[in-house]
Amino acid sequence: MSATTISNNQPHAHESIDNNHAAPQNAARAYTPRFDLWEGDEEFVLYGDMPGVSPDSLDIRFEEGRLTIHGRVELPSDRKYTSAEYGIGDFYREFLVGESVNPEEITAEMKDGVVTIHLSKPEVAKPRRIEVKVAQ
Amino acid sequence: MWEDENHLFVEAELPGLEADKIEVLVQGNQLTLRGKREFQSPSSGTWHRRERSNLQFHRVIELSHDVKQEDLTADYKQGVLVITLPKSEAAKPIRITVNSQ
Repeated sequence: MSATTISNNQPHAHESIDNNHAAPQNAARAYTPRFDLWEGDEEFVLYGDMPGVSPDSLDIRFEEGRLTIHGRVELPSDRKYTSAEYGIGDFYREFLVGESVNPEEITAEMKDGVVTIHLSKPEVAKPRRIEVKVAQ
Repeated sequence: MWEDENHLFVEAELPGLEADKIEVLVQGNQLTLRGKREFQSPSSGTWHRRERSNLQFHRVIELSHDVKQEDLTADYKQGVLVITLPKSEAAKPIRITVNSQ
């Protein structure tokens, strides 16, 4: 299977609105989370770093071959920062998913700020081991 | 890093760590953060995309105030570490009443 089965649909976070990707209104100032993509025989797995996102504020959608991941982060109020090395805000990322994924069976879990998304392959896309019988 | 009248707060984004793999040390006005994200790579399969680094960090942060050596707390939630450091009495501001004559 080629690496392009699941591809990034968001080279630059700030293009999301210009590209008319139906991104959420505040996606222009959303941060692009880092993702790993692993492929096994049975499934693809996406791992993403989204610190500060609770499972309840994570919105994952799959529509017309597009997987969107939007994590909402509540902005802390009345903090008097003395130094800030990173910004705090929502996370947004899109992936284009090819046909070799079963859309009915996408599951996700969130732990310690890391989201894990399982995309299972339909039966036809799984590699098959063919049993070789000894000819009698 | 931010503060209120009585505390200094230090926050760090550390997604995917075990709380007991994060080491927090305070010595004088130096705060040391040390840790490593352990990730068990599957034995088979293929990585198509590796954007997340093997997170390993060792930071020494100079605190803007002296802090008490007790009542320090470090809470890890949703991949974010928040350390609360009570300011030492000498570092707290003292309010001076203005008398009018």
